[in-house]
Amino acid sequence: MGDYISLLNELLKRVEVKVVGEISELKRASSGHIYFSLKDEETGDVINCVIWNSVYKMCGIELEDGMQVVVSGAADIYRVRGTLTFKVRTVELVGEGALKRAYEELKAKLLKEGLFETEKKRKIPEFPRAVGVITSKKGAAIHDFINNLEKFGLKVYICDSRVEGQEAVKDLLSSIKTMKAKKIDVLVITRGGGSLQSLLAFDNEMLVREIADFPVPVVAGIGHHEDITLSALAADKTLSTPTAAASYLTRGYQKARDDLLYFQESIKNGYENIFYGRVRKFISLFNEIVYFFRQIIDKYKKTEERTRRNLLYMESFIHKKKEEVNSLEQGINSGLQTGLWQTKKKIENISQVISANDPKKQLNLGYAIIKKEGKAVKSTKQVKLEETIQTVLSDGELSSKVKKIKTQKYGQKKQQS
Amino acid sequence: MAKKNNNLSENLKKLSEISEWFEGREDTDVEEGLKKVKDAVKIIKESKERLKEIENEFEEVKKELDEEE
Repeated sequence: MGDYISLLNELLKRVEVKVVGEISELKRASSGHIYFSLKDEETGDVINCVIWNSVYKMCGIELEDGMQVVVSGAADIYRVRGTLTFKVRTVELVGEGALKRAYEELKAKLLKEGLFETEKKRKIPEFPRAVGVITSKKGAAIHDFINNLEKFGLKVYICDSRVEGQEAVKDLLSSIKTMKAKKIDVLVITRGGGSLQSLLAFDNEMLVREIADFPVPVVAGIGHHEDITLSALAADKTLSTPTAAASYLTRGYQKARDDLLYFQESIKNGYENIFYGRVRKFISLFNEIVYFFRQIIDKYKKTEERTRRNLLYMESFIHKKKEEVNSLEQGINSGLQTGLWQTKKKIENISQVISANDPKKQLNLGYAIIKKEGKAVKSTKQVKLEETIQTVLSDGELSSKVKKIKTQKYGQKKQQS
Repeated sequence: MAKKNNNLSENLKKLSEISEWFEGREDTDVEEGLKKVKDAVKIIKESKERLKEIENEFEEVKKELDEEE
């Protein structure tokens, strides 16, 4: 018997299905497990269901009697009672209206709790080094993310997770738990867009709370059709595509690269301004100095020219004077010689005249010279009566007294006695 | 790693300060300006080294599964 039930359970376990029905006779045990009947509205068929507490916490729906739900899982036989029980792995509401209502209710609840407040948002690091990514390996999102993540030597941890439908909740929660253990700077949860139904997992209350409480900032790159997912609202930064999320992660590096170029140019220009400003001043100063020296040189040149002219003039003057002196010298020499010769001649003539008129000769002829006090007496007026006079003869002198003076002009006779 | 990134952030801040220092300073001492330029060159070089293209490293991590039943 036991082996038979084991066999049945083994076979039943393999039959994973999704079934739709209405909830009735819902009971919650003290353990937190949920027991209810699921009824087919058309046929009235019923099956007993159980949702374990852990699964129920993940489902994010407050189940009530009368709700239309889709449950997934498999059945088995409860050995003690021999009853068939469908063990629910996931549960979700049926119909857009119901889903939308549940979404709005949870959103209002979490909003009231302040889970989406802007003040609570943490800043995404500008230069992350290690990044955690939760997404499906099978989707296009992972490729978009990787291809658009610029190469700045980032360490990227990727955790593969289902991202479609209610089944994804468990995977996403496990992935988050795994990422908590990793030393990362930022966590990215991403997938492409989809309907409210396909994005159901991202409106799961447990997941939303995990995102809000994650130890490092979370970026949500979750596409959506109409309403933004509650996970995205709880994230610190929300972007609508995996591409945008990748680009946002490296924004700091991109900006730094641009800033570097800007600063490089700005500092270069700043220094050039100082340098060329100084060069301009130097040139200006240099020109002033050049002007100053040019003035000095001009003055010097003028002085030199004047001096040169003066020297030339002096040279010419000296030369002229020298010539004049030479000429004068020649003249003097010539004049002197002529003069000497003439003088000699005159002396000779005079000597001849003197010789010819030598008084001694006259004395020899009988003439005499009368002197008074050594001077020749040429007129009777020079002597007075009784004065002594000397008469010089050719062979001696006679001393005599004047006894008689007879003055006679030419042709006249006057007598004094 | 974190230190390097902090350096990048600090480097940009320093460069911004140096850039501001040069604004409207035509009369500043050339030597002082040159010293600032030398500092900036050193910082830019260090920052460019950090910003040059380096392949990202990807590692797949297995999630922890806890089944209950």
